[in-house]
Amino acid sequence: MHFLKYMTRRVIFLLIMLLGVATMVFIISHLVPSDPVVAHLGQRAMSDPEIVAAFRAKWGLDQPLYVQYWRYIQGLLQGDLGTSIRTGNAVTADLAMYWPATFELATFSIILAAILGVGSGIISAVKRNRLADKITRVISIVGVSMPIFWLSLLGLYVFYFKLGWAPGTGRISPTFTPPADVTGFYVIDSILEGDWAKAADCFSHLLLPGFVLAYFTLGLISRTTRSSLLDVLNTDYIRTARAKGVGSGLLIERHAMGNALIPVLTVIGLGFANLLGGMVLVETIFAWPGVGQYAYQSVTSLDFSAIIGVALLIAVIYVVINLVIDLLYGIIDPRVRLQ
Amino acid sequence: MKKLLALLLVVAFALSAVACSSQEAQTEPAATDAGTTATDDGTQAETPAGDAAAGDKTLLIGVDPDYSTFDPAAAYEGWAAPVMMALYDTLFRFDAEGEPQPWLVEDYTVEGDGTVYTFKLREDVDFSSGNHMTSADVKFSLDRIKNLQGNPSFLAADIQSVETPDDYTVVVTLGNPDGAFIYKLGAYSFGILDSAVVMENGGVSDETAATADNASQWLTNNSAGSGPYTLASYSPDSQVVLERNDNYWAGPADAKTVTLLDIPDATTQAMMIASGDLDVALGLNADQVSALEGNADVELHYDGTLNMLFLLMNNDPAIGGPMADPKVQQAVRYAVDYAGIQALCGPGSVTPQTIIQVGFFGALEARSTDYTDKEKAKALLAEAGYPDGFEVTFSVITNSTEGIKWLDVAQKVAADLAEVGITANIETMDSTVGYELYRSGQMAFAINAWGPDYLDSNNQLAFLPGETVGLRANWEYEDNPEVADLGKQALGETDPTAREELLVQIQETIKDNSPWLPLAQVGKVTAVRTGISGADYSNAYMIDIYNVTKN
Repeated sequence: MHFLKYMTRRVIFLLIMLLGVATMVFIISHLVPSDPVVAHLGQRAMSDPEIVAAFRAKWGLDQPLYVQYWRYIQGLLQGDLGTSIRTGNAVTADLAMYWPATFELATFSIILAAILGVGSGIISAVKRNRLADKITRVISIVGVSMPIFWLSLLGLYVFYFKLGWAPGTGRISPTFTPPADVTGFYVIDSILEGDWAKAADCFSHLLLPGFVLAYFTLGLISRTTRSSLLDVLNTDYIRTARAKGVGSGLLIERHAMGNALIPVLTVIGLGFANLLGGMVLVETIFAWPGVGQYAYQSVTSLDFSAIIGVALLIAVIYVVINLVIDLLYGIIDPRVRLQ
Repeated sequence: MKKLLALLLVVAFALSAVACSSQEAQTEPAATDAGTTATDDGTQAETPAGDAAAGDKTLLIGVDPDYSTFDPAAAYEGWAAPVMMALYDTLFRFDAEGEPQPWLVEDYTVEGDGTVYTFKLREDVDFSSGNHMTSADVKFSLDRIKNLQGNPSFLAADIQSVETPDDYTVVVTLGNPDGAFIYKLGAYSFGILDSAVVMENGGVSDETAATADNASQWLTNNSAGSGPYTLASYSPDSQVVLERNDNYWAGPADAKTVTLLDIPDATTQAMMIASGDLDVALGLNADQVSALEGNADVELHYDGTLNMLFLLMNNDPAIGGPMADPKVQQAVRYAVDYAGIQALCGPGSVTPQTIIQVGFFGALEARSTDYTDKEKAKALLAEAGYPDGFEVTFSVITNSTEGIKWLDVAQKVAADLAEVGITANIETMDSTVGYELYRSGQMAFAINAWGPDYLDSNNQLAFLPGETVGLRANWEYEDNPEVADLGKQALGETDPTAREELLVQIQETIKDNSPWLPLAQVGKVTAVRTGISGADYSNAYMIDIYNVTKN
């Protein structure tokens, strides 16, 4: 019952926030002193008032701004995000098409980042100020400070072009046909089809962009794990446990990690949301047909409905991830559940 | 166990550290080490074609496209051309010299002072659906472009009627004589649709088409043409797959499957063609070329294009200030270092003397790079009353043409002008904002680019006084009525000799007296793997996929 109330509150909060985001983005995108006509009609067509009028009427741009806003919100309440001027598809359909590519890549790389980041953070903390700690610290600082487009190009140059270990760009080699859409994850869908060669090909396409994105986030995770674990290791109860003769492996696993993980979880959650929101550059360099590219194309062509659609999607992701993290706190730390 | 894990982690990090420390290697031209990885490259090169049996060739083309629809009556993007010309046939097709030749048309006559065109159609053309092409399909297609009121509608705006006296005869009546009509018919917008199939999918061609037609979305994911290929699939921002039409009336194409891969990043594209994962790379620019030079497996083609960068000097003193003075305009013409600009615009670039690009019917020959004369420029400025020069805002949209950034070229221009005393203060702006200012004639001094809407010099006459583009520099009809009238005359002239004379006369008048200064027609680099032929750059189609063969 308590949980139900909590969830209801969160969902209501989410709806209010989405309405706010939609309104804000609507206002901002209409404040740009320009006109979708310029972005979508050619020079000749723009000079023909009849064509311009037909274009405006078709997309509802001939209406006053408050009418456009009202129509948009009305649609939004019915789950209709409007139609993209650029692609001619419903924005919901576009997002459904672009979203799985981004989600698959981001999920893969956050798993990588979490495993590598937490692992290296633990090593750093345990082997504090020893060589292993120093190496992981340098590496994580490099990860945090290198521009991601540079890391992408470098990764492509070394592992694809020079060494030939990774395949080129995109989600799948042109020799394969994309798997039928079940989960939207190419690797999983290929396995569902029973085509292991295809699954391996899709997985190999995930590796390089996945590592680049993971590298960017794992530095943060590693640093947080290290400092959080060090704090815990200095507490009294750990000292007591140690005095009672608990071995160092068990000490970390059973006693220290639970408490140290809370801030780490927050960082992983935010890192995941950031990955999803900030993939434009990686997607461009790896020709990954995801939401980042869709967002970029929509903004440069003043495709209002698509812009708001992407903003709403990112807002939902942040909220959902925050919710999941909050629920996970409860699992890790019973004290949070009691409150 | 934990120690092993720790060791693995350290190894993984060490590997990535190696990657970081090889930053310097990145700046070296890739060609120098191409030999050392030859075996890797060799095995990679097998991937696209290796598992394809003979006769089932696949062709992989790297692009950085702008297309979002493949409806002939709605598409207008430059990158759509190679796809559209593979899916659809046009009544006329451009040859290698850029001249339109009869294609779906067997023969034609022009009567009624150049307003009535009678086309005799080929009788052996079938659509990929199996339907036979007749005059009804041609009428449907022409009417639909005109009535859909999309981007290409202006091409058909002057068509008064399309009649079909019999199954293989089409009579088109224009409102005014148009010497460029045959050239327009070569544009992919006039691709002939299988009317039965398109109507089945919501296509409408009559006056109500602008609101009643629903076929555009269907035509974006399917094709209904008679061309050498059909559209197998289109995944936006990912790829376009074309399947060969084995029954093509002019003979089947070489490759069974053609995939246009969307690779927005030019550096990535260069690596992919060097590794053999692409057969043709169209989205390269000058920066990547140095890395590919000397690679034995890749051929580079340098071509000129019809895409022109130009300066606008506003003719209205209230907006342009000193820039409105013809003497200042001429001084700018003398001040610019054309050789330097062409170097920026890549191999193959030339500077046209006027708004009609080199390569077009009736164009003057290119401007000599010796034209630059800083002393004459200074003298003219003094004559105009600016012996110490002046300051002006130089509007630059952050845009690029064939990978050449306008800002780079603008900085070169500003440096050239500084040498004669003109201080051009660059103001950059986003295209969504900049085009609005440009179109409404609000820019005092600006750089911009122009790619022709159809392949005839008539298209360029929009730059003349009182015309669409002319007005963006506030170049009114009254400013030069003689040249404006010559332009109108040229548009209606259907006799080639007389038309050429008019065009030359116009250009001679404005080459040293207009608010326009063409800087360069930019160059285009195409990279192809050895064994690929027929992939030459074409002004009309960018690449004519039907002609491409692979060994």
